[in-house]
Amino acid sequence: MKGAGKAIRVYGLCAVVLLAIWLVRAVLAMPVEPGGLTGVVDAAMPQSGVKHPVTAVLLNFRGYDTWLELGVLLLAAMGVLLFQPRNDLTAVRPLPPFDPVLTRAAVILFPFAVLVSGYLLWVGKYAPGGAFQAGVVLGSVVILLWLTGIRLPAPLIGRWFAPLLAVGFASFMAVAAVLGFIGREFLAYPPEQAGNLILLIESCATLSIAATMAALIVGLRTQAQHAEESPHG
Amino acid sequence: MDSLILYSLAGILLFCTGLYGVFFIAHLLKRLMAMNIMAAGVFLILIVIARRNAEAFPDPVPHAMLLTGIVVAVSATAFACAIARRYVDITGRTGVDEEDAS
Amino acid sequence: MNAALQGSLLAPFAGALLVLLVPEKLKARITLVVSLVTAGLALGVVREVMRDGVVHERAGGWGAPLGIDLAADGLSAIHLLMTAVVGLLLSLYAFYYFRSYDDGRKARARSLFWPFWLMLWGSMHALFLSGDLFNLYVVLELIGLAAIGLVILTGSREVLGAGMRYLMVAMAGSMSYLLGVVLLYGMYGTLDLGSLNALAEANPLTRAACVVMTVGLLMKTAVFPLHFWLPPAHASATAPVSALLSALVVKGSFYILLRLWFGVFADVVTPAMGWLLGAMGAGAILWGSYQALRQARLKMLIAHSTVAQLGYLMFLFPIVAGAMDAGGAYQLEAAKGTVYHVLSHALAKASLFLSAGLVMTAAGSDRLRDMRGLAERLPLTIFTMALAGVSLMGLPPSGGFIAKWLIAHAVLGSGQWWWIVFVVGGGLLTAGYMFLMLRSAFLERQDGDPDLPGRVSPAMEYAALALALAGVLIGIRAAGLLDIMMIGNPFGFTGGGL
Repeated sequence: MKGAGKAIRVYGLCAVVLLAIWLVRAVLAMPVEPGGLTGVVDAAMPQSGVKHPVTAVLLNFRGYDTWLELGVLLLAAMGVLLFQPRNDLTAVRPLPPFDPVLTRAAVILFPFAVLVSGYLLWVGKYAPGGAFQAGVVLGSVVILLWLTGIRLPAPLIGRWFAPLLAVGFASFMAVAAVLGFIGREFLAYPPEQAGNLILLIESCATLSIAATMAALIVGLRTQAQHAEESPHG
Repeated sequence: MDSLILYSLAGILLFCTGLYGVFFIAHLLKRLMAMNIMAAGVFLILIVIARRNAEAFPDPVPHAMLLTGIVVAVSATAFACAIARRYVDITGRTGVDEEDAS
Repeated sequence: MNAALQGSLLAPFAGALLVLLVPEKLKARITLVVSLVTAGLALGVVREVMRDGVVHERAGGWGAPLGIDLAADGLSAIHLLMTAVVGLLLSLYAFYYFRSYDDGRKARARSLFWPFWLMLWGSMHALFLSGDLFNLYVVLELIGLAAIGLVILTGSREVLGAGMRYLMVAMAGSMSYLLGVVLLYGMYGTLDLGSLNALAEANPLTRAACVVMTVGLLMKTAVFPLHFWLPPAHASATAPVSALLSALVVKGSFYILLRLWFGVFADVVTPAMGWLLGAMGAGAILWGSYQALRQARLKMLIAHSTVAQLGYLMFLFPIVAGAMDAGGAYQLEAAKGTVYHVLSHALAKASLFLSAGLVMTAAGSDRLRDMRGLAERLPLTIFTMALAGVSLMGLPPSGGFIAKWLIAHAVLGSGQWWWIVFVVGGGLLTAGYMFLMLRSAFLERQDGDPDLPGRVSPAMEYAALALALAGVLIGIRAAGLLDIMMIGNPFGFTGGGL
């Protein structure tokens, strides 16, 4: 069995090397002159409701992709919650206080992180930034608080946790449903309202992304805790 | 332009290294890392494609694809970590290939 | 603006969020209601396709290449129809199936089954309606994560190992697909399938994209020898989940493969590539059937049968890539037969897995030898399994017969007669493992046998029976379905003299 495994490895290696050679040949044939959509995006920017082209692509031109991507995030969070007794993090036991200096520092940092997160959300309209960056900053400070042994507010990780996970995905749907109801195409914002709708969706997405990040880290940690307490099966 | 070719070649190298790893490494965590190395290779090529017009603003569409791709890869990795963690807790093993024969 | 199309995307996802958030005792009922609405909206899209031809929708209102175009043609319509029928009956079955899952770990599995399943259903709709390469990547990931979530629901060591292996292959497959998307964007500067079909030409880059995307999608479709992850995942999951995976999920990645080979890659595919895929199909039939014949457990047998049946989907490719004579008539015929096989296999296999769930409930295990005497105890379920077997074997008048007839005819007509050996041989092998499966149910019970403890709900039996009947019915009503499939000419062939 070991020998057969080794043979398969060698064949696999050969196949991968062949693939690499094939791909290198292909990439060398790629046109050097830009053939992308820069021009098309530039031309449509005035109707997009934002000033930064990447944000415009993510939340307006290809907003449909971003909606589904929030669905992927939600599925990942659901996958982690599967190993929790309920759809929240209330079963997570708080960690013992870690270090008074670190705890204090985390508490002091918290409002600043919220501020930075809000700024990142806002600046996405003009410059690199937006919901993902903002959500990750917010999520990481929550994780930091939890790591230093601070008890997270009960409603936030309890009753409101699942709605928080879902609100980003849901906001896109609510917008799509309203737009569909007034007879517009799928997720086609009216240009004059595009900026506001994008801000609304991004705010909701920020909350969801932060909650998802927390679920992905805190949820994992809990399993380890339980495993340490109970003997191995 | 030469540096762009170098980046694309690096991207392909990463992709192929990761591909081999996903199929032929037993340890779950290493396999997950291999998966992310694959992803990094693809993302590197995306950046090259966005950056082909050296003077103007880079093409925003590959950038948006890249951001979406990263989020998707992070989600999948976290999901995989949750499963792997649980699997290790239950079985005490770090790989899933030992029981292939059945 | 198309209300049915928009609704068919929004309803299942909105339903998924709803059942995630509502209290436990409402989840199953709400899922049933959402399933009815979702299936209804999908049928609405199908009706519009039948009435007006291809239905278009521009997501974001921008239109390609800036935005994402959605479209439903005949091929989409057939797949939507398949998903609606399987999905609705499956929800009904699951409604009763999960009633017994009411303590601890099992209650947790039931609680999250509903949102995961509706997310999967929505993702299938998104897949069949998408007209954008990168959007399809995101959708593939949605389907992958939802499917893996469903596999690992019960959290046992078997499902976790199977889910982990599935996840690795699924992610490697999507990354491979994504690399192809990136290469195509680098070459042609668009992600829109319609534009790419017109732009694509034969060059090394397109060929490389074809190779990585095809390999990635074959991994996800579990085509031999990339099938190794499928049997454990499909056999260890709960019965409704196994049905979903075998009937719908593996067909999703195959659907993309069809779109690509008949579109962007139509000019780059070489006969050698086609033959390689055909050979993989032949290998799948032989290996899958051989393994199915050796299994002692019912669900493992059915899962290996899926590996074998997926092989039939591959004979299309040597015909497409091979001789281009006869105005594409044989290519068209092969494509029709292949899609028909997707359809009939989905119905038959969903029915078989649902029946296997009933057998497990009644016999307390899924060992073939524990099935002794079940023909008396569960006559309807055993009849259902036989009926599904008729379609899988390809006996007239079932849907499987139409599919295999079309494939065999195209194979002979295009001069690649050697594939017929596998088409016919595969049918005989299928008959072999179907016989093994049913034989044990008809054996007399012996003194030492354990009691048959479980009772099953009649509604579950009827759901499985309805799927098997549908699998036979589509054989009788084939002409109408084939006409729907050809709306908008999804395969690009006019079909010459046939």
